[in-house]
Amino acid sequence: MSPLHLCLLISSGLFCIGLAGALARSNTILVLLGIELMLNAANLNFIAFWRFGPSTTPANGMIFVLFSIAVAAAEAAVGLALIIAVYRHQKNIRLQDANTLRG
Amino acid sequence: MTSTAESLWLIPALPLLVAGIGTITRHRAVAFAAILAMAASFVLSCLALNSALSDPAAHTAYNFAWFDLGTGAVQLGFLLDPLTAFMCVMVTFVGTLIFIFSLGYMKADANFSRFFCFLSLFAAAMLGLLVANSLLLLFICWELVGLASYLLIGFWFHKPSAAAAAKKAFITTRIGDLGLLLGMLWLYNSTGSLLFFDGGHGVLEAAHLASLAGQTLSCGLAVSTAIGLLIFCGAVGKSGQFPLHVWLPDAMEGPTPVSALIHAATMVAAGVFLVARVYPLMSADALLAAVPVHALTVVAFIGAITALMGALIACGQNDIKRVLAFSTVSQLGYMMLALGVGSWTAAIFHLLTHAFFKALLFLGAGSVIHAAHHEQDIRQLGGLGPKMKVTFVTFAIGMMALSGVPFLFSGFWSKEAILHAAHEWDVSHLPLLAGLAAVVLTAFYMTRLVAETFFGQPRSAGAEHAHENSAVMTVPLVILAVCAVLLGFAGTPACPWLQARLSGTALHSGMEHLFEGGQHLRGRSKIAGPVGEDCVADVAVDPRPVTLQQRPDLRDPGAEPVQGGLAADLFIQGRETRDVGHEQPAEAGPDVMQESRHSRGGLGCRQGPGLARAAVTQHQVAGLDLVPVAQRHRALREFAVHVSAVAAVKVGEGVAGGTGGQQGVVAREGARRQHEVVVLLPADGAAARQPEEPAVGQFEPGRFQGGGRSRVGLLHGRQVAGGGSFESRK
Repeated sequence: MSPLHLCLLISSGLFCIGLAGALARSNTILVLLGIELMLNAANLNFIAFWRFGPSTTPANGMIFVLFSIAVAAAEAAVGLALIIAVYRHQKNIRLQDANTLRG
Repeated sequence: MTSTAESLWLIPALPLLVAGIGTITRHRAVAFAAILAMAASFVLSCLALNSALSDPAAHTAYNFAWFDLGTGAVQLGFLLDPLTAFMCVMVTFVGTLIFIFSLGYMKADANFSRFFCFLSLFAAAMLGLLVANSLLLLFICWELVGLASYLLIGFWFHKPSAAAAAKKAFITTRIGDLGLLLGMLWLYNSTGSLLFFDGGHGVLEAAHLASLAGQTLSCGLAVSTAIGLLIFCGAVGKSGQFPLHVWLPDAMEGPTPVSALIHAATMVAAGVFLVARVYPLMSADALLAAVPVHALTVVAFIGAITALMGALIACGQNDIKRVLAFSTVSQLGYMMLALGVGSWTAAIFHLLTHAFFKALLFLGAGSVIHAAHHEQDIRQLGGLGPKMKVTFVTFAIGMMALSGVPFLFSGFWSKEAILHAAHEWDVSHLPLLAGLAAVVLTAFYMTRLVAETFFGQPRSAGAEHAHENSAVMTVPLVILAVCAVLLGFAGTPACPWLQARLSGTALHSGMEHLFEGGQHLRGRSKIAGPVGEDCVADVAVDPRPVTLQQRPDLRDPGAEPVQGGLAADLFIQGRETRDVGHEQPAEAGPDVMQESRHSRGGLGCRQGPGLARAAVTQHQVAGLDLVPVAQRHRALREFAVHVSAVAAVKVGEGVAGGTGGQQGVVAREGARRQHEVVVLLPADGAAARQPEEPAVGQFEPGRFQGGGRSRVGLLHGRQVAGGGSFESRK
């Protein structure tokens, strides 16, 4: 098995775990974690294709990943802020309970 | 057996491994694994210390590329020098004892294994910070320390006050870290590197320091000052210095072993360590006369304010741990004060002794709190002395060490060293006065603490029924108490073993690669080494156009106004002397070095490098007070030849277009006991000649003439002058 295959397998595994978490969990923080896992799987793909793929121009894949990490950090900040707002409002962070638009 | 820089990563890796294990299992054996890992790290640190002490002046670095970015690579590395090794030994030793103590203190806690997982993460981050040779790696570990402290202070997060304290600690230190991050980015932008030592390319080495100290901002600050102050912001946050000290007393909400670990060995030491580590950068501006403020002056005043303020507040506290917390603030102020006044070694000495006796005091306080059923208010305690004899005796030893009871206790020696250094500081005596006042206050509040806790009658049910704790808690106290006494003798003025080992680092940093790394002078504007305790050293080659208007301190009344030229601060390596002077037998080299080693002030020399400061302008080469030097140096002539020779090299390279250092006026720049040589050079741009033999100049007090050029020029040509390092800026 080539290193590329191995990386892709790991990243698909990571993606599946993240997807399962995002879909099946009711705790909002864990959903957020699942989303981050999926993002990281995508990052791993970026790096793997850059490193083992046909074109290894310096820093291409790296820059993509740095961007996506930055985006993920921003996303996590927004997501956690939302979670805190929801928690303040209804004293729990179960997704099922956040089903009303009215403040 | 020794250890190398390549294997240093093992020291933080062992606790990190345990922390990793601790995240996936909740078994109580994690605690024992953590203790074992710390003990193993301690052994590794001792090996590292052993190998660092075999050559205290060396900075053994192992660097590697983390990832490539564009044309460059982001590099990380590990560094082995006495500073790192002493700190590692201290952290692992104190850490191991605190871990053992925690076995007893936390045994009834529901989250026992989680506690040891966090403790291990904390220790791993701290050790990683110590071994880092890259500001980036240091910053990563720095933030991990912040994270781990957040987790530990908020360990009992069900208490709202603990959760709030954890948040406060995290956010307050982040404020300082922003400065550190900015300083780091600026440093990377200016130098293209974040490695401390990298064979001449590191940011703490001569070439980069010179360039940083030589650039001036529009506000008049040197770039190195600005970067140093930004980095100092991080240290202010982490080490609880004024005005970011507010988090530290609140951090007492964590379990007491955490307080011991945070306040004694690790987190708060990180800030002092950082300043000590980048000390060459902080002091790079020390020889610049025209800047509005020197970085270290700021450090000294912040430290003095913190020392006095912490001691004042501690007098008004009633919680046993908060008294200790404010005393920590105060002692950290002393360390910063020592760094600021230039006594790098006294700061680290106090850091080491303080780590032991403050860990002792916190663990003793933990023992009291544990025995008195979590009663922390000293007004509610009392009469514990007869009931808890081991705790009482060890706590009293710690208290006397902290108060600086003379002769027997380590705190006396280290604090005395700091006050002595503050006394020697010629900028201001206010820090000394603040430090002296804080000494008195320290003795007062510590006596009060001991008297309230251990004497008199019990004033609460908890104190009434207190009894001595098990051996797992008292044995660490006894070991720390022994260290709190003995450690002072590592650095007494009669036998400054520790200082000598440490200063091998301080004096050398930034200088040793100048000659080897001379090619890096190309295009650099100024190279400045640190001002060590025992010698004044400066290294600089400055192709900036310098006019006398800019450097009024160099003005020679007889000279014509100078349009441009070069200012150069030169560094002479005594070892090279024997290669230069043909009359000099080769065996004389070590003799010269031996002579040099003991010299103080003036033309400071140590272990080979002779240090001199000279300024070469188009009309002038300034500096070097020869008279006091002559009294100290048998080898004056060699060094002096060197000075003029290097000056002539630049001439030979067409810098000033002269024929050598021809006329000299000796100028003394009195302010900080630094000396400059002024050599007047003709400005006619005459072609440089290359004589076969070096001409030995004649030196008289007040004037000197001549100067060897060719050999020195060639010799140093491969280094200093090679490849046209100097450009003429007419």
